[in-house]
Amino acid sequence: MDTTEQRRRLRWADWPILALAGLSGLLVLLVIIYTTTKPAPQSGAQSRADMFSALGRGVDDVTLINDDGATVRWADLNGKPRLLFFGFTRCPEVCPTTVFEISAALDELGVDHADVSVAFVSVDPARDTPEHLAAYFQSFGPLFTGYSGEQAEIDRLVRAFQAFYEYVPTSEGDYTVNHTAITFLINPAGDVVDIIGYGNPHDRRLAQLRALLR
Amino acid sequence: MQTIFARFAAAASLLLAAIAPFPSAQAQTHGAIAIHDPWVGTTSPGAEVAAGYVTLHNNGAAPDRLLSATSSRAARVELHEMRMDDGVMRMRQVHAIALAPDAHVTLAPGGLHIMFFGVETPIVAGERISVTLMFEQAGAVEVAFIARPRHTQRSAGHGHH
Repeated sequence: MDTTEQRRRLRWADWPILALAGLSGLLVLLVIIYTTTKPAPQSGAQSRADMFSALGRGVDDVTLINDDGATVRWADLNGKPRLLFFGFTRCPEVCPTTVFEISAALDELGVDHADVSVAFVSVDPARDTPEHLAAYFQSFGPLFTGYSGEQAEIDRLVRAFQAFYEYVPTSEGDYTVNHTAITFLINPAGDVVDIIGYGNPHDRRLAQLRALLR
Repeated sequence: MQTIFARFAAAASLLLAAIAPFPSAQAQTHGAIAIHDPWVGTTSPGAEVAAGYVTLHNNGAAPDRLLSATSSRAARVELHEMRMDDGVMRMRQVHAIALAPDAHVTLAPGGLHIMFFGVETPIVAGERISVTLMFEQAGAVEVAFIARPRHTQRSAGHGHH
């Protein structure tokens, strides 16, 4: 048997092993690429915060009516972390679900109203009176406050957060409201640092809230 | 690799949790229409609206349609569809829900639902809301929608473990 023949035979016999080695090498390479390009948690949080830095600007003087009937300026809420959600009480799913989920997550984190507040700003202030909102949030404790107010003031807040709402007619002259279903996470200085999308998994929501409350 | 398997296992358990029937699910049949797990989300005081969900299966050879619903618990009942569009929740009234032969149609959170307006008092867990569903072919049928909190629905599979 000459050496060329032997070498060729070796090559043919070994190709599955070579292929396997190649695939393993590729896998290792992919793992390396994944681990090196995956941003570290800190820098990730930083770049997310940059993404949201344009939100909620120029609204310090917006006035709302809280569910005790008192007038508050938006900037009055600075000083502790705050969650902001735009909704309405005649909302069948996303608003109650969001309120339940946020409430459950904050319970799990063991925080109280000294640590955080949740501002639910109505995009249907004509029907969501302070009394109405007080009833709606009564069972959720002092963390949650429903806000009504002048439509023009609420519109300024909605625009500043690049949110959206519109009234949609239903039957018998009634209407429902299409609206942004995002929870904005705001630090004590009033800067948006993260957002929670509707339907985010529970564990992710918990991690996002933990980061805000850190 | 460990994490890939862990993720796969988590995804599989989520999927199983999602397709496993609710333990106390109700079922009834009316003509060719099988009605499974009718439920309604509990409501907060002052909410004045509620949403009902159900899975319908047309066992017949002919197509049918769910045309409307009524309930003494609400001033008005409509068929609605919700969808999420780039972070915005959008709602629209639908005038009928088509049920092709052998088709399953699920009214569920995030999509089609029965919308109750003018709910005077809060709907509490365990309450049975009587709803008359009107089908084009199968006619009217009274269905008891069981009230349960909606957050247990959504957190199933990734809740407290």
